[in-house]
Amino acid sequence: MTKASKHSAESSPVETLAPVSSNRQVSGSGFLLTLVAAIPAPVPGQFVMLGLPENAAPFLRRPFSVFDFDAGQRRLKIFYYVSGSGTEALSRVRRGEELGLLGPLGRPFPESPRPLQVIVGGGRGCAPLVFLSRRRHKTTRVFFLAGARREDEIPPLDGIKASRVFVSTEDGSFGKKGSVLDLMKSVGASPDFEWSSAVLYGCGPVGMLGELHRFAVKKGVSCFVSLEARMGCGLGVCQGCAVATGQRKYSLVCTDGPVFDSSSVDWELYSGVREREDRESDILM
Amino acid sequence: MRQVRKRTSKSRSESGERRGPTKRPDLRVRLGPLELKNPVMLASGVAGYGDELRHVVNLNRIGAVVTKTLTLRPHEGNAPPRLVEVPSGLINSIGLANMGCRAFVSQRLGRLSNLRAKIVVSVGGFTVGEYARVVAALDDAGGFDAFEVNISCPNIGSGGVNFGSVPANAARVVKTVRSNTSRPLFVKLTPNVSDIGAVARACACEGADALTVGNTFRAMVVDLHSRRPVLGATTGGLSGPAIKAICLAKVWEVVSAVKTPVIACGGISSARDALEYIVVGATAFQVGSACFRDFRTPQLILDGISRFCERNNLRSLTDLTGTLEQAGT
Repeated sequence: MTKASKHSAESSPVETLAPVSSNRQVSGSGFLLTLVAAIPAPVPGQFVMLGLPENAAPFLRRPFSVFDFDAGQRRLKIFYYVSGSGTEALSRVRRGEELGLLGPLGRPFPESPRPLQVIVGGGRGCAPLVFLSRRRHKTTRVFFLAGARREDEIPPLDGIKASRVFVSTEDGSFGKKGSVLDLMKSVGASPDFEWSSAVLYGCGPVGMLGELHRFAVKKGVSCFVSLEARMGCGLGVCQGCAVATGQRKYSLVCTDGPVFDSSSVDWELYSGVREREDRESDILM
Repeated sequence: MRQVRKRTSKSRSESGERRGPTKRPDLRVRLGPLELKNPVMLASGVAGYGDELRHVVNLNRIGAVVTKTLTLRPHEGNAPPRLVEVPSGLINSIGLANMGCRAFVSQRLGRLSNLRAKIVVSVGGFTVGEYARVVAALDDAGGFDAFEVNISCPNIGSGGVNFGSVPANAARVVKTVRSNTSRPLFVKLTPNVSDIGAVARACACEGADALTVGNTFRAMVVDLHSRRPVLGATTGGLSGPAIKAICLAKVWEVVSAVKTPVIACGGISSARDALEYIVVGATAFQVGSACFRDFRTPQLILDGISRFCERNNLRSLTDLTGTLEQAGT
C-alpha cells in the first residue's frame, strides 16, 4: 500500500455544521461555495465531506477537494461543477443554510525538494491545484497548466500563485487550442525547460491522469495525482473507495489518498472503475 | 438468562421501586450476560476496527461498538466499484475486506482497552472450521466483551449468507462457535430469507445470547450504457432508511419466534426509528449507514431517546421494550 506522503500539518478531522456564506455560479456549470468552517486548516490535496441539510436527498455526503481556506476567517472555499443529483442539490443551497461538514480528510500533496513544480489540472481537477499553488514552498519556480473542454468550464484561476500560468481549451474558445497535456508537452519542449529538475502534480479526468503518468515515466519525473472515487465515510472505515494499487491489492482513496504516487496506481483497473462511476453521472469531486 | 424484552405492568413498578426516584431515565439494557449502559451500538462496518471514529463519535457515551468482520486470514475484498447510492440508501459490496484476526489482535485490540463502550468483535468465515478458528484465536487474546457472528454477509462467494439462509447451517456455525468461547455470543442474521423466525430459532437453540436483525438486503444497479452491473461484484447489500420498514417487520417476526434478546439493525437514523424497533421488541439497536451522513447520529439518537423517556415518564427504557399492541385494538 502506498503512502503518498506524511505531512506534519495533518490534523484530526472535525464533524460540524457549516453555515453557507455564498454559493454562486462562476462559470457555465461551475459554482464557488464559501462556508464558515470551524475545522483545522486543511493542507493542499486534502478534502472535506459535505452533506445536504437533514432529510434532503441524496443520502450520502460527497467528497470535495479544498479550493481555498482562510485560517483567520475560517472561510472554506469549494469549487464544483454540477454533474449529478448531489451537486445539483448542492447548487440550490442558499446563504445562511447549514451543510454537514467533515474534515479535513486524506493525505495532502507531498512537498518536493525539486526546484520546478509542474502543476497540471483538467476541468474541476484544477480546484485542489489552485490551493496547492498557494502553499509556501522552497521551490523556485511553479508552472501551472490548466485545461478544460471549453471556456465556460475553466475554474477561477485568479487565486493561482505561480511563475507562469498556461491555459488551454479543447475547442479553442480560450487559451491554446488542444488538451492540457499537449500544452504541457509544448511548454516542456522549450530549451530552458529541464524535466530532470521537475516534479509533477496532477488532478483531472482519469484519461488525462493516466496519460500524465505515462509521460512522467517516460521523462523519469516523480508524479503525484489526486484521485476520485465514490465514498461512503471519508474516514477509511467503510472501505468503499478502494483503488487498485498493485496486484490484488487495494488502497483507500479517502485515507491512503486522495493523493497517490502515480506509479503506485493500476491505471487500467482504475480507468475501468472511474468510467463506470462517471456514467452513473453522479460524479464525486 | 434474565429476560427484559417483555415486561408486565407489575415488573414495571418493581423496576421503578428498585432504582428509586431519578430524573434521568435508566437506559441500561441486557443482552444475555452482557449489560450495556444504553442500547446504542455502532454496527459492524461503520466503526472500522473499533476506534477509528474516536475523533467524531464520543465512543465513551454509546453502549457498544461492533468491529468490522474479521476473518482468519487477511481479505482484500471485492473489486470496485464497491458503493452505489440509491434513493434513501446505498448498496455496498465491500466483500469482508479486513486485516485478518491475527493482525487485529497484534495491532488494534490493545487500543480499545480505554474505551468505555463495550467492544463486540464481529467474526466471519468461509467454512464452519474457519469460524471456529477465528473465534478461538480471538478468545485467547481477550480484551473485548462479546462476539457477533456474521452468518449473513451477502457479498462473498462462499460462507456468509450461505450459512445464514438455512436453519441447519446456521445452527452448525453457532454450535461450533459456542463450543469455542464462553463469551457473550450474538448472531447477525440475514433478512434475505422467507422464514427468518426458523433461522432465529436454530441459532437460539444452539446458545446464541442475542440475535442481530439483520444484515443488508441483496440488491443491484445496472449501468444502461454498458448493460453491466454497476458494482464490481454484480450485487451488493442495500442499507439505509430504505430498509427500515422492512427490517422492522423482520424484527417483529424474530421476537415472535424466540425469547432471545434482539439487536435491531436496519435503516435507523433517528430516535423515532430506534424507538419503533424497541416497541416492537428489540432490546438494543445498531446504527450503521446513517453515520456516513452524520457521525453525530448515534449521540443524537441517544439524546432523543432520553428525552422521549422523560416526556413519557418512563423511568427505564425497558418499560417500553416489546410493548407493541395488537393491530386494531
